[in-house]
Amino acid sequence: MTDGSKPEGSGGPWTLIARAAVGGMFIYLAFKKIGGLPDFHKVMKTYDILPLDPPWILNGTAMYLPFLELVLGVLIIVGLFTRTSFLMVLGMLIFFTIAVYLRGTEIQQAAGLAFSEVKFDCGCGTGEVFLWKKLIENGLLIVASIIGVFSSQRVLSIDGLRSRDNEA
Amino acid sequence: MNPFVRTLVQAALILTASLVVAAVGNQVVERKLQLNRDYFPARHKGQPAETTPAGGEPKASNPDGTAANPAAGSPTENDPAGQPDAGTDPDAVAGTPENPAAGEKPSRAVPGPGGVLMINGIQVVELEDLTSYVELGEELCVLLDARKKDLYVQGHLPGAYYLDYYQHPDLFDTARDAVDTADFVVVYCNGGDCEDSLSLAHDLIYEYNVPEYKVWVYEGGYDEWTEHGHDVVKGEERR
Repeated sequence: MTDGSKPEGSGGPWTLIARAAVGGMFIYLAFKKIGGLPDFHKVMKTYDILPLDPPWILNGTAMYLPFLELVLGVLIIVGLFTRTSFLMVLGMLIFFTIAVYLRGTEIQQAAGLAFSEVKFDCGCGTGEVFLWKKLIENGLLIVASIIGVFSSQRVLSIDGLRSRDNEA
Repeated sequence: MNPFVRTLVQAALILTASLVVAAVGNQVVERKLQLNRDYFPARHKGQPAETTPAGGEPKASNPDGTAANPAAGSPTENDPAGQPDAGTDPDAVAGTPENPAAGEKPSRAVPGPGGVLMINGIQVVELEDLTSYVELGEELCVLLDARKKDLYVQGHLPGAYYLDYYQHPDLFDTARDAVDTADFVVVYCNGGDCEDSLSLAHDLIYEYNVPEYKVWVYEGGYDEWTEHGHDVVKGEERR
């Protein structure tokens, strides 16, 4: 099974930059979360997205998500199932960014803060961050993921090697 | 293969591989989560029925936002301050004063029977009373720190046992004797929005069968203790 792209494809250096940025960030943040699963679990509760009953829903999600991020980060870095991985990352980023924005504005209204002053632990693995910084950061990752989804370049990737093998 | 189908198959493989990695990873990490454990049990305990007005919103402790009168005397075996949850609204939460005093975090505690402050059925001890109880010595008052190891080592209340709420099944034996013999068992965490102390207090009562009248939560937590300049102990030693 191949990604269906030629190694040299379209995308130029931007694809490599996108893979390094998104893959590296996901691996880094995954390890931060894995090192403190209870903290991630508590922050997830504050979003009020998942029910607390039965406990396995929230607990299972907290136990699974960081490892999914780790696997996706590794796949993007090594370039295996690249497009699918970027697609999944894109979906996650869009969902998380909306959730972070809504949670941040909730805190803003409750505390009567200016938007630029809102700072909280969003559960991303970096501890407390300013909402505006996190939105910009996620926005850049979303752009990088879109590049990854639509790029057909597979230089320095396992998908590229498999394409060459199939052609040979 | 159709590209759409190929993407679906690859996604399924990724999700499955992640599941395997998660299953292994969750066994290896130091601070684990358990799939079926209820980590927020205290939410099932509503506020005492008589402190909840007909509108369903608990009253603030005092109009100016300060906590109501401190615990009236010491609890005794014949006068437990804990409340059964039958008949209470399981979704009721402690009220937040509309006008907290300047610089003070709003308290979630509301007066319970006998004037004892309570949050979700757990007795609350305030800073002034806690400093008195601590001076009585460990035979009478034992402190349990519900925070994670890093925070405990950075600083904890003198004499407090390290009892990370998320790891307490593995840690409780270190404090069991002290909990059994003490008259007061005071649980704290960071304070503020942190609920670990409340959850640990709940588990002490319902999992370890510690009598309800002995268990107290110090709502202000480590943050309030240090803000008021009280001594802390750094490192893994209790004192």
